[in-house]
Amino acid sequence: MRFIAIAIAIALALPAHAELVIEITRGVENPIKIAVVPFQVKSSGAFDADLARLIESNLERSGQFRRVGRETMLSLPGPDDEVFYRDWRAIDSEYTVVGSIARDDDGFLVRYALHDVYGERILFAERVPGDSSSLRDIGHYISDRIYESLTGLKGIFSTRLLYVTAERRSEKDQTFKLILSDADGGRPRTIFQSSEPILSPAWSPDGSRVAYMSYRAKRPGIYIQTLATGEVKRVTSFPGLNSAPSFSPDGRKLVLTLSKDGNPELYVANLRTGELTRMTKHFAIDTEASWSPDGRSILFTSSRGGKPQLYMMNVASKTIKRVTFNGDYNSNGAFTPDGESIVFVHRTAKRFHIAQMNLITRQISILTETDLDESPSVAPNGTMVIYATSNNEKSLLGLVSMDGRVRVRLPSVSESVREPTWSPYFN
Amino acid sequence: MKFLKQAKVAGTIVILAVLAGCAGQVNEEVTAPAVEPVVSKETASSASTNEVDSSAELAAKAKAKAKAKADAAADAERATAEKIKSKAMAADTLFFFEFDRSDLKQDALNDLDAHAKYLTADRSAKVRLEGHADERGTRAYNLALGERRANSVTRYLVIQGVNRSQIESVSYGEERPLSLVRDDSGWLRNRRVELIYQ
Amino acid sequence: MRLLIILSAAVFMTAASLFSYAEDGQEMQSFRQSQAELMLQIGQLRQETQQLRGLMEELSFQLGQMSADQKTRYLDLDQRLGELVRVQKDAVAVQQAAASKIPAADLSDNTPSVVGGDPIPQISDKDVYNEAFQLIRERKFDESLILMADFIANYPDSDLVLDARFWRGQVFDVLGRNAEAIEAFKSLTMIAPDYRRILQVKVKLGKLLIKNQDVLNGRKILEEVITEAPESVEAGLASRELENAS
Repeated sequence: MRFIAIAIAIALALPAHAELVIEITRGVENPIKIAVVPFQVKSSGAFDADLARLIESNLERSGQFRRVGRETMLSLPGPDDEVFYRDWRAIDSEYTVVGSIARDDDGFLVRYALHDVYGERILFAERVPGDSSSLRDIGHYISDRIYESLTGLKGIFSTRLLYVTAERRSEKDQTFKLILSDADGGRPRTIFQSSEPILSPAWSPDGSRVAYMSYRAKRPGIYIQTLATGEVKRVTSFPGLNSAPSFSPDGRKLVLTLSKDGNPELYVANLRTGELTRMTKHFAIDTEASWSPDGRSILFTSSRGGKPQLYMMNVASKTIKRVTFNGDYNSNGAFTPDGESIVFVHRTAKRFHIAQMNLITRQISILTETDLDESPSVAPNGTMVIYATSNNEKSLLGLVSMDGRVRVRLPSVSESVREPTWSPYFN
Repeated sequence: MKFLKQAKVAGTIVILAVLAGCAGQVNEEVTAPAVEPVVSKETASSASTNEVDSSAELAAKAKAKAKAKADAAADAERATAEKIKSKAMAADTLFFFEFDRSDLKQDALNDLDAHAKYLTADRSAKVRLEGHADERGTRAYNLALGERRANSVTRYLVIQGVNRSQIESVSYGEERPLSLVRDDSGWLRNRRVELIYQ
Repeated sequence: MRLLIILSAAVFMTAASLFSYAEDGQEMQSFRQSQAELMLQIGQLRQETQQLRGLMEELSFQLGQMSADQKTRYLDLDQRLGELVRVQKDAVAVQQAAASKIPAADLSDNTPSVVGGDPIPQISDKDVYNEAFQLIRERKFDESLILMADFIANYPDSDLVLDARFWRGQVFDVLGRNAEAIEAFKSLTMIAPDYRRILQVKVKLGKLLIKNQDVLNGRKILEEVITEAPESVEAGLASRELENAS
């Protein structure tokens, strides 16, 4: 009996497999130095997550923090111990987090405190109860609280990612998976799997549903899956293209691409009535629509000018204005949460990068340096963009801060990862 | 690629063989009408001597001959159909495109003509066209591009007399590359329409 | 006998029909070929219209940008000319005043500024300035630039003229129109060396000059700020800029 308990404890202590590993390629010049002391375990048995590790990784991935290594710490205090600020100044830590976990009847209790080393005071302390399945959630919650108090920005560690992986054995023998994970890539969960391609995943504004394109019986269609129940509803499956869905900010409509009338055109589907409204009419390609946060405009890619460029449509009047004028390939645009900027794929010197453009000043900045970068998706607090990129034979995910100063690579373990989409906030 | 070459060689041999067979049959067909009047004259002259008997006999003979001829014609037709089919089977089933373009290249037309001839000759034959793009550019755009490429081929076949109902087309965008080589040589092979007989 | 004739006729007819079918096929063939050619031509035409459309979109965008630039350049010129005329007028007035020894107070009647006795209700300079400033707050930069320029032209004697010039410079800077921002700040340093925001103006100007590759002059101005007011916040900013530049 005891042996079994130990075996389980060991199994739980092992790191989860197939998670994305973080690698920072570039950070801000003066990151905040933070020491997260390993949380004291106040009861018997191991826990399946190292909360301190999770928190310091989260903070470091934002590019705004740098962790102070455990091995340099002169003491490992808990929330009840005295914190000697001199010791932490000695190892150049500006802030120190201490904490503990204890099992109780209902699950467990996490206690933690954030110390300001130079101010020599506790900024705040909290008690967070939870059950064994929510340990990672608590880690993300604590990360959000620390991030918010030290940067003044809302944290994104409790949000989720949606992405597609492909495992290829030959041209016609592949496995595609739609995967939902934590914002740090942890707890990956396959929510849909197919031998045919899965494309264009998109979140509903409340984060409860996702839309995507997949092939059923060799015919493409757009489907909406409710995450809590797994229930799948077909939106369209017309002959020809059914692709690139994007929810309206109120979650009631979906803008998508259909070619049932001969050419790829944008349509708006009313999800309640099923009514379809055609939005564009041109013999060129119109696709990759994305709704603005205020719901008034739709940004989309069109080849009507000979090359793929971004255009903005006024939803009410259906008038169209070209947005991008630099470069011969600008596509797959998405708005930042404030609606003032867009991020998109921009080709320059024959390489594909992620670029950002301020819609007021029209200033463009190129955010990435790798090649074949695509599918940019902005975090709900507007600080970071996640995108797909390539490295030799592999496709992997990258993160870049909106000012281009912080770059983080999330190398995949084995599969080819593509089309990352950042969830909205869940509250 | 190697397989394709072998298929082409095999196809050419089949065509040659069929052509040789046809040559003989075509001759027969040509000579048949020339013989005809002579036969009817003969029968006419002999008919006067032995009317009742020979007329029945002759009618049977003529019937046999007509049947032989019909058979020959049917054979010839079958041979032509075979020829058309084997030509189509030997023709290329991969059609390549330029970057961000969906217009057919001139060198695709001969092979498409062979497919069109077969599909118009045999209305029960069906094809599936799969449009593809290389990995450069964005996925949804490439999906649309793949469809346009498949549509270019569809349109050409329909103009050549193929029924729209014989063609099914789908786009896979950049999701099913033939080549995983990440340079011009690989991308060139991935910007394609695949024609698959069902 | 009759049967034979019918048979042979049938054979002939089939042959004939076969022959005509062949002819039909040929016609069909050439028809299809011309249709195929037509299809390829339409494809080419589409490609070309798309390219033309793209070119037209780009040209009209460039034209829009150029005419906006033109307008600001004209306004700038207009404003400078106005200034020149005013300076001359003042000089003449001072000369006249000195010559005829008329008390200076009487001069106010000749100045173009609005004086109390005017019967027509006028919008005050402050209203216009505030309106222009509000536009900046609303990030309607292009409109604010135009209104600020109008303000400077219409109320050359207002106390707020220097502020209007300062904000024009700021807006140009925000819009990344560096050359115009430099012009605006430079003219401020020349015409109003005692302006209350002059240190701020100089830091901006120095920064912009360095950004525009004129490092020498940029550094000079920043150093000026430090020597003129070493204790000021601006001196701190200037020294940081100098550090960044080196």
